[in-house]
Amino acid sequence: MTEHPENDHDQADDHEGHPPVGKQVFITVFLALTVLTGASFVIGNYGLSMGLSKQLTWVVMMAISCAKAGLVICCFMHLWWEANWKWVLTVPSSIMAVFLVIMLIPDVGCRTDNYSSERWNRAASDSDEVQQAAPSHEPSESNSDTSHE
Amino acid sequence: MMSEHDNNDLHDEHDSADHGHGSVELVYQEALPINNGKVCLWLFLSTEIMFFAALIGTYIVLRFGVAGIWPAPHDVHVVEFWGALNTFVLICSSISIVLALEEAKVNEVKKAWSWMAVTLVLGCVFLGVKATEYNSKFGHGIYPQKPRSLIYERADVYYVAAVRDALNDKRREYNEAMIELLKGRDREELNADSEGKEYDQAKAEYEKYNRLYLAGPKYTERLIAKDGDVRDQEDAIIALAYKVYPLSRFGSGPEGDHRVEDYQHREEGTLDKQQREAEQQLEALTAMEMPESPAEQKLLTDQITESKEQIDSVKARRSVFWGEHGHEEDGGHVQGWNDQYQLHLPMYIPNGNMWASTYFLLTGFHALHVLIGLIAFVLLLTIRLDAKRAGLIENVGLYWHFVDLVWIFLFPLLYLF
Repeated sequence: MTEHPENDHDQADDHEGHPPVGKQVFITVFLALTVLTGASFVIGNYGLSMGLSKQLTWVVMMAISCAKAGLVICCFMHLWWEANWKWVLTVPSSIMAVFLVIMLIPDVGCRTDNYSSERWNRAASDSDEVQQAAPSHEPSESNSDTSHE
Repeated sequence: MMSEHDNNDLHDEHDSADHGHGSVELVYQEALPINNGKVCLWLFLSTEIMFFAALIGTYIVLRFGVAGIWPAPHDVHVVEFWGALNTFVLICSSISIVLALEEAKVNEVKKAWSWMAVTLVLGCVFLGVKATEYNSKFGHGIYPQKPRSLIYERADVYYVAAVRDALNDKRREYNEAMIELLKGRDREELNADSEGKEYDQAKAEYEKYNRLYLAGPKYTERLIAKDGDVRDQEDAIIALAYKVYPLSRFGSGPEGDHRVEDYQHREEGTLDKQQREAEQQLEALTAMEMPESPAEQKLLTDQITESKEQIDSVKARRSVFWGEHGHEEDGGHVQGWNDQYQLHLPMYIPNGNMWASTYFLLTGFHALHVLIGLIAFVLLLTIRLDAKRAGLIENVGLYWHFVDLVWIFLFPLLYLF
C-alpha cells in the first residue's frame, strides 16, 4: 500500500502524529518500565515481610501496572503525540471494557454471598474453610428465607 | 475515494458547486487524519481491549469472589521469577521494535532489520519460557481438565479412593513384573538364570509402593470406616493430601495453619495401642481351629490376611508416613510423595480447576497473540525496511505494544497476587 505514490503524500501529512522526540526518550521509558517491573516483583514477593498488608500490595502492584501501561500507551504507541482522533477509538472501548468487568461483579463476584450451607458443603474447599466462611453468610440467608414466608 | 487533485480543486469550484443542477456536490473527507491501515489497526486494538478486558476481568472477579481459598502460586508451580523475566523480555522487545521504526524512518535499512530481528528473537524467548512453564505444570499433573488433570477439589472419601487406586495400580505393576520374571520357576532357578537382580529390583519397588499404599490411603480408609471422631477422619484425609502434595498453607510456614501437625500429634499417641490391638486380634484368629466348611475357612483366612495387613499398615504409618520427610525445595516448599517418588497421585488443590482454567485461558490467548506477532515479524524481515514501510512497521509495532500491555497486567495478577 505504501508503495503507491499517492500514499507517500499521506504519510508526509501523517508526520504530526509521529513523536517529535529522540531515541533518548524511548530508552528512558524503557528503563522506567524495567524499574517498575522490578518494583512490583519486590512488592509481590517481599511485601508481606516488609509489613504491608496483602490488600495493600495488590493495590500497589495494580497501580504500578497502570503506570507501566500508561507509559507504553503514551510513549511507545505514540498516543501522546497523536491528534484528537485518539480519543474516538480508545475512550469508548475502554469504557466498554471497564463496564463489562463491573457488570460481572454482581453475578460472578458475589455469587458466594447467597450460598446456602448445603452449597458450601459442595464448594471446592475443605470443611475448615466452610466453617469459617458460612456463618457470616448464613444469618442473612435465613432472614431472607423467613421474610419470603 | 477522491484523489488529492479533486480535493484541492474544491475551493475554486465551491462558489459554483451548484452548477444549476439543483444538487450539492458531495466531497469525500477523511474521517481521521491517519492512513487507513492505522485506522484499521486501532479499530482492531479497541476490540482487543474489550476482549482482554473481558478475560482479565472475569479472572479478577472469579479470583476474588472465590469460594474458599485461591491456590497460592507455589502450590501450582507458578514461579515468580519466570514471570518477571518474561515481563522484562517483552519490555525489551517493545523498545527494540520502537528502535526498528525509528531507524526505518531515517532509511537506516540494516539497523531497522537488526532491531526487528532482535524483536523476533525476544518474542521467541518469551514463548520458550512460557513453554517451559507449561511443561512444569503438565509434568505435575496440572491440566485444565480431566482425565489428564490430577487436581481434586475436595479432600473426601473419593479423593482417598483415587489415591488408593493409583498406588494400587503402581504396586500391582511391580507385582505382575515379579510374576512375569518367575514364569513358574522358583527363586533359586532365577538366580541361576541371572535374572535374580531384576527380580530383586522389582520386589524392592513393589515393597516400596506397598508400604505407601498401606501407610497412606489404606490406613486412612480404615480410619474413616471406623465409627470414630469425624474431626479426626477429616484431618486424616487432609494429612494424606498433604503427604501426597503439600499445599503451603498446611505446612509449618508463617501462613500454614498447623492442621496436619496437630493431627500428627493426636494420631501418633494412638499408634502403639492400635498395633497392640491388631496383634492381639491376629493371635486370637490364628489360635482358632480351622472350621470344616470351605466358606468359613475362607472367611477365617481372609480375616487373618486383613489383620496382618492392618499391623503392616500401622507399622508403615509410623515409619513411612510420619517418619519420613521429603526435603525442602526452594521457597520452603516440602516435597510430597509425588515429587519424592516420581508418582502421579491425585492432588488436593482447592479451586485448582478454576485456577487452571483461568491460567491456561489467559496465558494461552496471550501466547497466541505473541505467536501472531512473531509471524508478522518474520514477514517484515523479508522486505526492505525503509521510510516507505514506516507505516507498516508502526502498525505491527502498535499491535506488539498491545501484546506487551496485556502481559503487564497478567504478570502481577497471575504470578504475584
